[in-house]
Amino acid sequence: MSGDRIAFVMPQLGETVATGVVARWLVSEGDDLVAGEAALEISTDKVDSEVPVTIDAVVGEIVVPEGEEAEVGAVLAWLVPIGTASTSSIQLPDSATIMTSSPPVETAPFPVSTRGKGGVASTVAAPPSTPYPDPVLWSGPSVSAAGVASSQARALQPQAGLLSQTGLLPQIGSLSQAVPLPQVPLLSPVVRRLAAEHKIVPASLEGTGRNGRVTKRDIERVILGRATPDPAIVEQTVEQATVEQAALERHNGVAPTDAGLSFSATQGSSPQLVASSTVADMPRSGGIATATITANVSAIDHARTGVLGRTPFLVASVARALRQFPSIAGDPEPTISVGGRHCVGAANLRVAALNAALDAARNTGHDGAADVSPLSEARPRVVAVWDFSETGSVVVTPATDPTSRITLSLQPAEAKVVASLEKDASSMRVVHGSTLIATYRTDLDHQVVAAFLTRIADLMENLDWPSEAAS
Amino acid sequence: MAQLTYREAVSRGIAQEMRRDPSVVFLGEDVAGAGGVFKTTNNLLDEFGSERVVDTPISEQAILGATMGAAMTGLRPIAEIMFSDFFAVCWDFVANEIAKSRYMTDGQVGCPLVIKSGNGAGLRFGAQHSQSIENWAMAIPGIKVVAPATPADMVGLMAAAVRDPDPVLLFEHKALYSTKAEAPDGEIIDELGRAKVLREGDDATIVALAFMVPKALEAAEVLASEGIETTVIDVRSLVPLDTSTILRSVVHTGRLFTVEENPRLCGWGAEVASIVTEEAFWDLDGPVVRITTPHLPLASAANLEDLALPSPERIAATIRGSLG
Repeated sequence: MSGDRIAFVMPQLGETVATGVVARWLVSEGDDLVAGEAALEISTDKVDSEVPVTIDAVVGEIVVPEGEEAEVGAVLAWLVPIGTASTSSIQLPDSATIMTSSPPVETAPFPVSTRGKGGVASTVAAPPSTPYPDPVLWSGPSVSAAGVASSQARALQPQAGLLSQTGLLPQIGSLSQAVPLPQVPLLSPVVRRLAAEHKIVPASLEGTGRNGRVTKRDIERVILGRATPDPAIVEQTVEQATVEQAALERHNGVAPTDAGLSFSATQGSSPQLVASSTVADMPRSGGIATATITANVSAIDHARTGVLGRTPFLVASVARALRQFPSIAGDPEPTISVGGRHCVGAANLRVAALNAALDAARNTGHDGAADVSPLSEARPRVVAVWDFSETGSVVVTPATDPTSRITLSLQPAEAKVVASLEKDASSMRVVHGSTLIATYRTDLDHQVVAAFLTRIADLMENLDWPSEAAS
Repeated sequence: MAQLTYREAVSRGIAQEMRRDPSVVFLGEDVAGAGGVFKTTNNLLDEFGSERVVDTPISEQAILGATMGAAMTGLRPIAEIMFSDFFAVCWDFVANEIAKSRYMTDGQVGCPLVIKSGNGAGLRFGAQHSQSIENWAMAIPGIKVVAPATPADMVGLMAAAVRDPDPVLLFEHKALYSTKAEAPDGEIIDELGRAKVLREGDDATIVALAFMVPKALEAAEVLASEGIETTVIDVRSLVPLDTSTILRSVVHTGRLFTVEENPRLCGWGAEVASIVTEEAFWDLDGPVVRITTPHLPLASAANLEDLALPSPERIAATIRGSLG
C-alpha cells in the first residue's frame, strides 16, 4: 500500500509562511480527482488559496481535518494515483511518493499564484532596504537549492541560448523575465552588443556583477586586452552556435539580427510545405511557441499507425531536431518523456514501442538534407510516458513538467484553410494541419525554439518512414 | 564673479531684461510694492516704475489673460504665479490659449511671454503649496519648460526665456531661494534646451532637476567615497529636452538614474527613460531606474515631507543597490 499511495502535503504558499490552516476540504475520501482539480482551501496569514492535485488520483485518506493547522510539508491526505506514477514525483526511501500540490517555488516555471508577499518574487534578491526602495529590477534571479536534490538542480541548470551567449543573437525577451531560475547569467543589452561586435563569448568570462553577471566593464576588459576568456568555453560555445545558426538561418530564412519579441516565418522549400511558427514571449511564465504541421499529417494519420498514432513520428522528429539544437537539448543525451492522454494504461508497452521506433529511425532515409547526421549511438532515450494532450477538440497549453526544458504538445489534426502565394498563382486550399505547441523555459532563446519547432514540423512533413516504424 | 543668492538672481534676471528691452513688463500678486512674497522681486518697482511693474488682483486667470493680451499686442510680459500649484486654475489660458495661439493663427500671432512660478516642496507648505508640477507643464505641446537650479542659471535662463518668441514656463524652486553661489558679473544669457554636466564619472549617469540637483550631487559625493563614480547632469530644461547630452553620457556609463521631485506617475524621468530605452538600448548595462517622490499628496509635517522627497541617502542607496 505504502508503495502506491502518495502524500498530499501542505504547500509552501509564500517564502515566509510556515504553517497553514485547512479551511475546507472540497473532496471526500474515495473521490476520484483529475489533475488540476482543487482538493482543498488553505488559509495562511498571507493568502487564502485553493490547492489542486497534479495527478489523477483517488483520495485515500484525509489526515488533517478542516480547521486544523499544519506545517508546510505535513501530510494533509494520502492519494492513490490512477495509472502510473508522475515523472515529477520524487521517490522517498520508504517508497512513499511526495507530491507537492504545486511545484517547488524555486523551480516553478510558472509563478505560483499568491496574493500576499513572498511566493515567487521573494526569491529574487532583494535590494538593500531603503525608506522607499525603488524597484531594482536588475537583481538577477537567485535561487535557494532547498528542496531540490543537488542532482536535480544540476539537471535543471540551463544553458542560455547559445546564440545569445555568443552575442550573435540579441535576446530581448529574457531581459524581462521574472521567473526564478537557477543562476541564469543575464546579459545586459550593451554586453550583448559588445560581445557581438567583438566576437566575445560572455559565458567564457568571469562576471564581476551581481550573481556573477558579466557586466559592460568585464567585456571592456577583454576588449582592452586586460582579461582573457576561457578558450575551452569559447570553442565549445562557438562550435555549437555555428551549428544552431546554420539551422536557424536555413529554417527561418531570417538573419539572426532580426530579433524581435514576436516572430514568424514561413517555410517554402517545397510547394507542398506550409510550415509556419509563431512565438509569443511571455515574461512571467516562460515562452510558448507554436508551429503548424501540414501536408503529410493526414497521410500519417491514414497510415494505419495503430494505437501509437503520430507519436513515433513526433518523437523521432524531435530526436533528430535535437541533434541540431544542442542548446535546447541541454545535454548530449537528452531524455524525452512522452505521453498521451489515453495511453497511460499501456505506458510500458509504449516506451518499448517508441524506443523501437527511434531505433528504426536511426538510419532511416530522410529528406536528404546534408546537415542531418544519422542519430548516433548516443540516441535520445524515451524513459517515461506521461500525460499530455494528443487528442481532444480544444487547443490547450500542454501540461508542463517543471523539470523539463521544453514541453511539446501535438494537437489533433484539423482542417485548415491555407493561402498559397506562389509566383504563378495565388490559391486557397484546405489541408489537414496539426499545431505543435512548445512551452519552454525563458532561458531558452525564443528564436532558437521557433527554428527548432519549424525543424520538427519540417521533419514530420517530409518523413519517409518504413511501415514497420509505426507497427 | 560674486556670490549671488538664487532669490536675488530672480530679480537680477528680470531687471537685466527690463533694462535691455523697454517692452518687457512684469506683473503678479504682490510683486511690486511688496517685492514678492518670497522677496524675489525687490527693487524692481523702484527702478522701473508702476507702468512696467504691476501689482494685480488675486486672480490667476486675470493675470494670465492680461499677460497673453499684452504678449499678443507687442509687449514681452513676465507674469508671476505665486505658487505653481495655482496653475491648476490657469490651464485654460496656459494650455488652450497661450500654448495654441501661434499654431491656430498660422504663425501670425505668437505669445512671447514668460510665466515664472514658485515650485516644489521642502518648506513645509503642505499638499496645496508644495507640488512639483513640471511634469504637468511639459505634457502640453506649445510651451517651453525650464527649471534652473543655480543663481547663475536663474539669470541666464530668465534672459533666454524672455528673449524666446514663444511662451516659456520658468519654475523657481522655493527651497533653493536661500542658496548662494558664484555668478559672473554683467549680463548672463543662457540657452533653452541645454543640460549641464556638473560632475563626470564612469559608473552611472544621474539626471536631476532643480532642488534634486544638489541632492544628487550630495549622493554622488557619498558614492564617490565608496568608489562609485557617477556623472551628474542638471537637465535644466524639460522642453526642449537636451537628449543628446543625456544620451552621450548614458552611452558612456551604461546606467541611468533619474532623480525627480514630481510624483512618480508620468514624471519627467519616465520620458527620459523612454527616450534612452529607445535610443540607447544596446548601450544599457542595466535598467533605467527612477528615484522619485511617491505618488501621494505631500504632508506639511517636516519629517513626513522629508521622507517623501528623494534624499541624498535614498539616491545613494538606490544607486548602490542597483549597480552590479
